Amino acid sequence: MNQGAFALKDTQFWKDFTRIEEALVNRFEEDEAFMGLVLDGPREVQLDQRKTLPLLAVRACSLVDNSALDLDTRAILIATRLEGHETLAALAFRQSPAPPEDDEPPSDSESLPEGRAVDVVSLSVTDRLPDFPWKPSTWQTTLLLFDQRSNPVVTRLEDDSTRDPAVLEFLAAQRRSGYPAAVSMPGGPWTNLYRPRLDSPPPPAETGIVLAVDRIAVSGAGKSCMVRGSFCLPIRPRDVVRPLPGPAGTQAEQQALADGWVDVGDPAVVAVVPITLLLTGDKHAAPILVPLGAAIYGPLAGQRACGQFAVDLFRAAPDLPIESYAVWALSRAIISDPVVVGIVDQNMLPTSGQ
Amino acid sequence: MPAIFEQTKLTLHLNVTKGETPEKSVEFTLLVDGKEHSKHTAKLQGAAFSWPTTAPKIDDAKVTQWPYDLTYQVDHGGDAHDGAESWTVWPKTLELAPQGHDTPVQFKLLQQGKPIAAPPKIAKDKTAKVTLQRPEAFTLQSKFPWKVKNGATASGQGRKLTVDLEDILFRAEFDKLADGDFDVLPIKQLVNVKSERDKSEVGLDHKGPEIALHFKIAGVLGDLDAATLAESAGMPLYVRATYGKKTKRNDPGHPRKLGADGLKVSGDEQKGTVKLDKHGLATCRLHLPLSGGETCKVEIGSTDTYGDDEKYFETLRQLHFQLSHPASLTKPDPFGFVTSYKEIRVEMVEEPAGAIAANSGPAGAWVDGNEIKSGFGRPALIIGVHNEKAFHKLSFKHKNDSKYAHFLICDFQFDAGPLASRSFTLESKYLTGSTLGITIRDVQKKGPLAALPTSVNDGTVALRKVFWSIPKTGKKGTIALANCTLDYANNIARRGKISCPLPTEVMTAYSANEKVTIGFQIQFAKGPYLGSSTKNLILIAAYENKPSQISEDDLNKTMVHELGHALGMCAAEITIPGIPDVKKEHGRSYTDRGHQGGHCAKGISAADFNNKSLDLTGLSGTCAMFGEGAASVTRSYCDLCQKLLLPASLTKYLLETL
Repeated sequence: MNQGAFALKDTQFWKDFTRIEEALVNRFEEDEAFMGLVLDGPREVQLDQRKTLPLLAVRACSLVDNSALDLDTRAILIATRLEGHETLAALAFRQSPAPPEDDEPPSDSESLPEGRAVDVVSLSVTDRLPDFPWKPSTWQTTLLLFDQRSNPVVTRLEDDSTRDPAVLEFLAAQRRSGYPAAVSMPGGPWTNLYRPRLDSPPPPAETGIVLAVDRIAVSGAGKSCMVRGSFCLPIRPRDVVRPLPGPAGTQAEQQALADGWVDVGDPAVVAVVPITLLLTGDKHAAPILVPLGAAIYGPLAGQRACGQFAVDLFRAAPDLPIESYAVWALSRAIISDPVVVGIVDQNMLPTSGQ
Repeated sequence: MPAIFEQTKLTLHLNVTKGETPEKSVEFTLLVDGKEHSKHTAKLQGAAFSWPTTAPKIDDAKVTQWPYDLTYQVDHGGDAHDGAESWTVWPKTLELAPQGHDTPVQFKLLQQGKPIAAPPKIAKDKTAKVTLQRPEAFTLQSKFPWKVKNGATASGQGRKLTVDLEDILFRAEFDKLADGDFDVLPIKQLVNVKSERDKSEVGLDHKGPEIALHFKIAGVLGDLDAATLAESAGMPLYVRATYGKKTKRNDPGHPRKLGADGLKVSGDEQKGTVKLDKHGLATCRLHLPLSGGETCKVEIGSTDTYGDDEKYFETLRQLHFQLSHPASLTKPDPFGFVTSYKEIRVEMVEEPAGAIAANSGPAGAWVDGNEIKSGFGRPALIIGVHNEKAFHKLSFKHKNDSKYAHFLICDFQFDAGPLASRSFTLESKYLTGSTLGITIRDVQKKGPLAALPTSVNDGTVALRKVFWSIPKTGKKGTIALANCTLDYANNIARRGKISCPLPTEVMTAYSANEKVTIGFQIQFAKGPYLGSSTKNLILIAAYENKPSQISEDDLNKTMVHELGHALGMCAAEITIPGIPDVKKEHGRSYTDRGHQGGHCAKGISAADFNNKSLDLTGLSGTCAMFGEGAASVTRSYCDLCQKLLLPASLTKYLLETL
């Protein structure tokens, strides 16, 4: 199911959900074949008329899955700006304190009956992502639940406060494409971080990102946990590396610097695309983000460019708790399939004779 | 007798008034105080005998009493005649020899009550010469702080005059500051509060980092008269400020500085002078840092040994809070909270509490407490994100001031949760006869903890629908809600129990070992939460998911903790000039690791803390800023947190106002 699955008009997302919730529960209760996570939200928001960006989601799953992968504590809301390179993420819902003193221990799935759970939940992008900019832009939001995800929802934030054509023309003239960020070296510096490796996954046939990681990684001194990726992504004008306009001291140079021109750090790079690795643990779901400025080498041809990356999670996220993680890669509208890696502490390994 | 100066030219006369005199000469005798001083024979010239002479300059030793009387006699033909004139003679120039003083002294000499135009000046030989303007009595006075012993000299005692001096007993004092005389009782200067005084008295209301220090001089044996005070004009008073308990705050905008003349700085000590005005008053500025707990001792004196008077200052910050609580719940005593902030030199001012009357506020906020927790015994106030702003508006009185925080205490913190459907295959353990009995926890091991008796949003019942289906036959149906009960007893622990009689056809199919599916729709509640912060509103639940009310001590701990975050702890958002890396300065702050946000790991072993992958949940942190309310946690900010909370300015909460 995709955006619009709930058949709601944009304005209904800001109204009392009570009746809508009931209708949705009834609908998905009847649709016993559906198991999954559906997200819906408005396609357009008038910035001067609204202050929030609400979303509505339905999850249907078995009672066992419902307890094993609790939506309330595990769901992650991610938002990516399609025109830019920002990716924001947070737990989708506010968290309760520790369970009650007389609560039962965590999931004992065997004691659960066979059955099905349907939940309708509302959430607010603006509440959960305090840094969400309330400016004209297009955002894609998605819910992640460890290694599962919802459909994406794309919302355009429109500033309709003026209809004066002269003002609109002026504002349009002010828009500039921006410049690529520097090639990033998370946990580095590194060499050949964005060069193909023997263990790089094969590039995707279509636009996308493919990830690979060893299923188990042992942490400790000198250890690494390499997440490898291959991608073919759309290239926007702002991603393309261009020389700093000159000559030095001119207004053109000043403007470019103000617009974010930076030396990408590698003369061989022709473009830098934003990719964010997102990790969510099976014990601690709070997302860990590793933003990458991924280098593209070689001549650009067409609207897409392909490349590779390899990131050592132990260095890029040095405080990584010991647990298993679903690793996702995001780049604007593109979301990879997840890979799962279990982090094992060196001290957990049995010693000889044990 | 006319008064003249000695050595004034005189002409003594003896006139022949009628006829002719047989003697052609006479003898004049000049008398000083009636005793012969000199003689002169004068010849007749015309009709008179004359002697041009001068008033004699007499040694002091030969003068019984200045001014001396100058008279004369004329011996004429054996007859002595008194001269027709006489004079009172004054010395023209005086030589003053002051003694008894140990600092420079200045004299003034008054005649007819007015200082003469050319006052005496002390020469290198430490004497002073002065020329009288008029041959008459004078008064010699010394300028402040010396006075001529036994009062002013009422008359001249000759050309050489020893002047015995004694000092005027006075002391420099602080003016306009009544307190702060002892180091154990310093003036608590609220450096983050703007002074309400005008510029000339800024800071004297103990507010603000800048203080207009006022000084005065006062007589020890009595008030100094206006003339004496006027004489003190220009005299320096010596001021010394000694800063203590300095934090690492180094703020160019608010330096530790004494605004005195000729300032000399040596370590923590700054000293200089201020000049007295004609009223015996002086002033200068003292600048204190914006940190808390720093001290400053200011000493003044008429000499650079100081010691006349001293004042002690300590820097404090001031913030305000208001507690609002259900009227049925005793207002928690915030004493512990206030005490914790005293420890970091913050004066927490409690504003009048707001009591929330039963059934006030938005609909649905008050529910039967017994339905949430067995034996609760009174209506329970439920506040959550959905209605907290309404209660904030209802009870908080300082909405637009970021120095004010609002602790809104409710009984339970819940929000309306998702509407959910749970369906399950019927099993015997859920049956008592033909009556279904299933608790929420039977179908859900995690997730929402409670279904509220009424939805907190709209007052509708939580149980919305009970339904059944028999897959084999495809039959479906619902059970009238009127026949169903949701027993809320202790449903905070997800023990809410749904009971209803099952229809005959369901029981028949079940008895025939056919699969039967039973389902229900329920509106869960999100929570209970312990509390939350929304701008300057800090919501705190008096009850959480434990059997009894949160203790007052724990509630105070929560208040300390939450406002710690509001002040930028633990090292997350706090900024301090002079401490570029607050996290490094703290040394034991951490982010997340099983908790949410930045917290303090004081009390955690070094091994555990340094194991960055270790989840700190359940460990024994001791600081109020540890990430959970463990039993080991104290109500106080630890020494590491104080390394940041003392030097920080804390001019306001980071919380924005709602």
